[in-house]
Amino acid sequence: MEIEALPEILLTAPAAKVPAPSWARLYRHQSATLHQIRALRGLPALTVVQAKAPASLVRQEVFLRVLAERAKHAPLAWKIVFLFDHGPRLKAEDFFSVLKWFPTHSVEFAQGAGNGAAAVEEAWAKILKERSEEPRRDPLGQITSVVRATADLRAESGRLSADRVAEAFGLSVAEVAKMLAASRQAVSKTPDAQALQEGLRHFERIARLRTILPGGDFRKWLNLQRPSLGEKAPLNLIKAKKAAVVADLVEDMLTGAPD
Amino acid sequence: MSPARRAAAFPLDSLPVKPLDAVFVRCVPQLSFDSGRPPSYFFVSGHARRLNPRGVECLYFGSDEATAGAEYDRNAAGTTAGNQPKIIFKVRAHLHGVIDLGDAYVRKRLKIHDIDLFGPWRGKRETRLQALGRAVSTQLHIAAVRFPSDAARARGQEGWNLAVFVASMTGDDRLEILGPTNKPLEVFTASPHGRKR
Repeated sequence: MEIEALPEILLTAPAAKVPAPSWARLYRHQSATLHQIRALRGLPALTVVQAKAPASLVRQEVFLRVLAERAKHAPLAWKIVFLFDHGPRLKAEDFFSVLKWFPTHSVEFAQGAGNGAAAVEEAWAKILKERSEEPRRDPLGQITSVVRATADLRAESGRLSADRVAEAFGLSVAEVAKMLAASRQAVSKTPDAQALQEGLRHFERIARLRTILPGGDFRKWLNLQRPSLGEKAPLNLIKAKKAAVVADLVEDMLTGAPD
Repeated sequence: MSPARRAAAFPLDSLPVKPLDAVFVRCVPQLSFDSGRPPSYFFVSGHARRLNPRGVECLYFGSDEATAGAEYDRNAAGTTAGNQPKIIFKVRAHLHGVIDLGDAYVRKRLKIHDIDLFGPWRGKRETRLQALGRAVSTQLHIAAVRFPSDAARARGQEGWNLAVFVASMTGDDRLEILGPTNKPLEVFTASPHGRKR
């Protein structure tokens, strides 16, 4: 994967004044006081908290509560690096007293200003790794009319069902099974199997087009050549196991993104 | 060559870059907006588009209503989607640096050809324009790229699109969704907290 060059960092501290350490110049950074953090909608991907020691930090309950609250509105992958002054060796109970405020996997610790840059780099690498693994952002999936347009693709279990997808797309169950690299018998027996969900997800994203193209118009669209697809019909690409390409096109149509 | 090395091959530092303060347009189906939880006007999914590879967050707008309409209609031709109620919203873009692919000199320096601007790109490996987008997204000198609309061209019109690279917005860069009063409906800034309503 490519490494993004410039992590964006928010520097803060329980103290009113936030000194920017020398290593911070390597990054796009912004300092913020508690008051300024309150005004933020959410934390950025990477926040660095500078404090003397865990014991003094946990006494700043309001500061930690505000951080924890704003962290709920951070991007899907985020970290807070707690950078403590160089001092006595920290023990497990010191870390635990801070950890209890945040999701464990989102917190990193370092001690001594000289270790700040390495801790930030490590945290940034973990964010990038998590981003590469996290599911796609799907704001369209939160829109009532869009969800309603694909509700019939789901079985009583709430999972996507291959036989319902086949009907919506005018395909046979055998054809859908082939596109999902599954056997027709297995798909017929359990059309909403967990193992099929990832493949069926592309079909659901495509079927969202029924928000603006109900019924027969949707199937008609599937069979018409599209300039954006190199004059190929969407259904032909779906059959060629390129459903994700069609799903991205549908998302662009529903969000008005230029081609 | 790796995508990162391809991106490094663009001479971005020596290109003519201009600030931008202008109004752009986007056209979306109304049905996406009239439900209980409307999306942000600044919808960013991170999937690949003409100017950005997958994973590079980019916002796109048209230069005017005719261009936004052409983009909307492009893939709905032959269906009733064009008859559906639509919403046209306007965004004021205030950006510190934009490169213009309408400039022949810029295209020549970047080795961008008509096939890159007007040819199909979906389902292909990272295109030259997407590599350019990757390069833009890893620097702070340029925040956006203006490029000709293929949909407008197909209609025999001249129209432009703007691709704004979220990670390259800095300082006072902002995008404002214009509303009925002077107060924008939504603002997207370069600050760590990004968008505000």
